[in-house]
Amino acid sequence: MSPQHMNIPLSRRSIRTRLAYRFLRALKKLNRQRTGAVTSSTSSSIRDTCRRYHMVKMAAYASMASAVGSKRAWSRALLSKIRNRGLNRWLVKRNKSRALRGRSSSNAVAKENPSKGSTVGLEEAHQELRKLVPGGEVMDVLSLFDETAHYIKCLTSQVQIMRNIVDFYSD
Amino acid sequence: MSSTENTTGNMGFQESGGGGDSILNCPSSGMDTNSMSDKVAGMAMCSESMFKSSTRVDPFYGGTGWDPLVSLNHAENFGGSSVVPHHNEFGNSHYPVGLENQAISSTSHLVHYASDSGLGDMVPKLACFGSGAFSEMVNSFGLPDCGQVTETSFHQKYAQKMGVGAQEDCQISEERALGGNGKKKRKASDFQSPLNPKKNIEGEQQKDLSANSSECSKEQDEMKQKMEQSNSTNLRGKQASGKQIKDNSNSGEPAKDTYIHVRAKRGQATNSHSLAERVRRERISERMRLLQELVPGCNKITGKAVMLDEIINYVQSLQQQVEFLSMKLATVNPELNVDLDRIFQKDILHSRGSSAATLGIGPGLNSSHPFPGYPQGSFPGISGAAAPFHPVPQAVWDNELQSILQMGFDSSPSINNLGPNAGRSKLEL
Repeated sequence: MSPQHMNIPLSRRSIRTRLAYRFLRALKKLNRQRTGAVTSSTSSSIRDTCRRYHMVKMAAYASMASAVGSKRAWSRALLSKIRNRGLNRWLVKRNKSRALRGRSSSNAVAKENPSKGSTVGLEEAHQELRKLVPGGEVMDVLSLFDETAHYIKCLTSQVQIMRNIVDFYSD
Repeated sequence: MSSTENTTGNMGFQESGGGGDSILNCPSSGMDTNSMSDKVAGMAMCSESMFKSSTRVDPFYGGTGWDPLVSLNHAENFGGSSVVPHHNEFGNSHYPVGLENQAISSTSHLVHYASDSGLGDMVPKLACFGSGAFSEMVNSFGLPDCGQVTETSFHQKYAQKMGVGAQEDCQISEERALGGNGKKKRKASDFQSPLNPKKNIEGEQQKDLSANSSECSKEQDEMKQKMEQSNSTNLRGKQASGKQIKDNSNSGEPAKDTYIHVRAKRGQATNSHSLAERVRRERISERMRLLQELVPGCNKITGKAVMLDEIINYVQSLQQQVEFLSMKLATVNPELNVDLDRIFQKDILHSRGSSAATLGIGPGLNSSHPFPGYPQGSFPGISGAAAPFHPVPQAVWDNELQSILQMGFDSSPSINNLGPNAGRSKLEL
């Protein structure tokens, strides 16, 4: 965007700066697309909103992954998913597993914990985590935890940025 | 600490009661086997003496049914870990303190050193093996940080010259210990693979048994039996604090070692598989601790399954927040239809004088932005004021973007640590 903005090398800028920058840039792109489309149609239907929501969501994940770059396994997996246009599929699958987990996990956990508790519940939890973290299916437990920690960090930063933007918009 | 040292010294010295012959015989054999055990610190000696005393009979004290576990108890208290005593035959509480105190005082600093370097958890292991085998065993595990390997020969010599030359011995052994670290490390390199420790230990045990006198070996067998029982029964992870100590001692080793030198703690199986598993489990628990710091409100949770559930819930909630906020953005955005550059600067203006909670307050105006009376939320007014924004140099954008981030992130102090990544051990950005 601005030449001064690029003076700082990418590695030295904080993760939050990078995340915010990329996400805002993605939003700008979306807005330009939207303004291009809105001029044609006056009313914004629910379907448009839904589509926009998906676009924004994809943009959020894509900007997060590209801000992190190739340094992390989860970001690499996310980027490859985006390139293969599989991000939608992953998001949908995640939502489905989340719904299923909400229903069945309560029973499973209640059963497991009183009996002996750890091993079977642990494995299930590991599986769940693998589904949540992008690229987690092929990782071993150790790196899974590493990736989860970094993923949580970036997710929290991304959520903060988005909340700031929304607050900015709504005030 | 000194009190525990005294008790440990007492323990050891009591031990030395028994057969003087064995003591006399031992050093010769011990010397042959453990040349580098000379490097053993006197401190190690003192703690060693406890265990060795169980194996060898000390001529000075009528140590009879000394319970190695009790001495281990003291040793581990000394080292900061806990021991499960199997049987307490020995009510060893009152022992002549005079001699021991001399020796202990001379070696007290070494004792401190050993405890600091995590030798405390090494000490319990001494009891598990024969006297001569100990130093080899320790070397085989290859702890480079603890250059003080308790020395059977040294211990024997010490027992011999208990009353008179004890202090000198301690000092000599200290010097030798401190000076001979290189030798020890060289020998430690011989026992690189953690897969062989058990073999080495067994071989050395046999060597030691053959070398010792009958009285020594008798007590050794007794102790070995006890230790084997304890090994078989306390297989996994009974020494939680010992684990921490091992963490400390292992943390000194570079993570990039091809071989991972692991010290099996007292009461734990020394099988290579279980050792590797223990290392793996410790790594996993390390990562779990990191995750616990990241996930808010998980300080009190103990247990992997519950913690994992919390982590999963947190990740899911974060992703749900992302979706919710993106939905909000999708609905909010088209209404405004404003160029995002202007939004950046407006955001900056907003952030200048306000916190995230009080966004409406407004005029924390930056001097570089000559925007009078920015109406909050009245975006049509912006279009009129849009013109003065364009010539505003983008150079300030970066700094102000930082301020945006700071505005939001100041409210959550934990997040502030994420950016500069200060203090995070394993997470890198």
